[in-house]
Amino acid sequence: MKIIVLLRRLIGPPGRPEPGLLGACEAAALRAAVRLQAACPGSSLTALAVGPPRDDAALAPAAALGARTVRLWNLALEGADYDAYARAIAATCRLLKYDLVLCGERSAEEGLGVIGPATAEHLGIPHLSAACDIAWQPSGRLRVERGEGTAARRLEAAPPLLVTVAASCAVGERLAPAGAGGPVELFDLDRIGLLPEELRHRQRFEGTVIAPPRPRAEILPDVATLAQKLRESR
Amino acid sequence: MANVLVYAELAEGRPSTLALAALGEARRIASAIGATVYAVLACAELPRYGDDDAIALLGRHGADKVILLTAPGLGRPTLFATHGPAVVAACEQLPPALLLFPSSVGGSDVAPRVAARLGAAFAARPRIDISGDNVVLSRPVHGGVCERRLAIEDIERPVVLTYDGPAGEPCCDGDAEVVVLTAPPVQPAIHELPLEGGAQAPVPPVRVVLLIGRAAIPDPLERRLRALGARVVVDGVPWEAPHSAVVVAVQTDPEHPVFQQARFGLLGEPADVMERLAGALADAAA
Repeated sequence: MKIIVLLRRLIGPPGRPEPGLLGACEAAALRAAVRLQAACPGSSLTALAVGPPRDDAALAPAAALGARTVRLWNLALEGADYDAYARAIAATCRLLKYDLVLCGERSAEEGLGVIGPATAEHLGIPHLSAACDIAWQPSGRLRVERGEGTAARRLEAAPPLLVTVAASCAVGERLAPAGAGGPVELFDLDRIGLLPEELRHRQRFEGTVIAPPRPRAEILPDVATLAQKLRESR
Repeated sequence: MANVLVYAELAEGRPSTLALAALGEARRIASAIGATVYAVLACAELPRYGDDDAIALLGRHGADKVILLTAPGLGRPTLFATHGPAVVAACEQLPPALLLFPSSVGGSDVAPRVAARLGAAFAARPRIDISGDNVVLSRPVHGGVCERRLAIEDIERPVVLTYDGPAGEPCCDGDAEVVVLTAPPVQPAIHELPLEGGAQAPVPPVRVVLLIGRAAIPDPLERRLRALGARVVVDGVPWEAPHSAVVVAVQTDPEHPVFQQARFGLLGEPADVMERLAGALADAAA
């Protein structure tokens, strides 16, 4: 089974210090990938990042777990929207070969939840979103559980498949270092068969980031006052 | 005239509250820009007709027309694999300038992939500001420290968005015209399995989102709060608050950035404050 996990380094807001390395959903995707690889002997794991050299750091935890690591970048992707990234990821996945692609449900910064489904669309494979538990079935199909409001739902599908992973997935999974991984392999658009022009036009659809003045929270004296406010807000 | 499409997700045979909220917002936008509102109703069986049926309800909440697609596989669950092809078929017949989905688990599964299929711009749960015929979508990024804004008139592509808000009152008297389209066959590669052990213990809806920065709280306390309708969010975890939830920041330093993202704040060690809050919420629920 060829498993690819998509990783990306957290980006801080303009002028603020760098946050942690991986978002909670990306970290969960990596944990889930390691669990699924271990449960299916003979499987391979590749971690893929699309970003500038700073994203090599996001691949380091996967390399330490023995994964092959690949980073794709081209300046045409700078400031491009989800669709450009999804096209680039899909083209890279095709080149790497895959049975299962895992990624975080949504990034901590943007919170769109779009990259996974859009990548599945460009790969032409089914996707399952917001997995909070994931395991192989004896039949070789993948079983995914996800929360739906106040209930849960269990779904299954056969590879090839893309699954987006919620932050709560595989919590407690022990990640045992498997020696230093190899160096990060660098891919460019040439290698995956895309032209910059195919991606650059998507820069117009991303919108602009601004930092509007924001009112600060009303500081309450104690928990009892908050409980009262909550009762009033119902 | 431009088309504004709304995916009318069903819950127990009726348009869901979130779908009606999205429809009301679509009506507001369409009235400003001079567009026609279509509700896309994809269901397993023809809906009943009557005063309170799904089609009448969609008409009263702002739909000019209802696009009806029926096929046996269009029941639950709402996934792109089951409902996506029907929505795409509607978009092919009536190309939208704007396509709204309810911000439910199902809507959030279908919307991004439909956006990719259409080559559309995408926004999740934006605030929608209308000035004249200009529509601007703004959504918080970086945990609410910044906003990303997209003006619809600046792009020549359709825009797909998920919407969360309260369902408004019925706004229209007239009946919506029904447009029947042929639903593509549903051959989902994804199947639902029964949950072992029967029904799970219900988790109450989120009423409070607690932002605690990089602090840590014990798992048992987090589970207790979750059972009381409070969700704890630490830095690095993507979060979104239902429109009806109250966002509260808890930290020791009054200058901490979390206080810029919340409506209310409490000063103190997050674990201590959370413990007291769990007690207060339990008392209130008793």
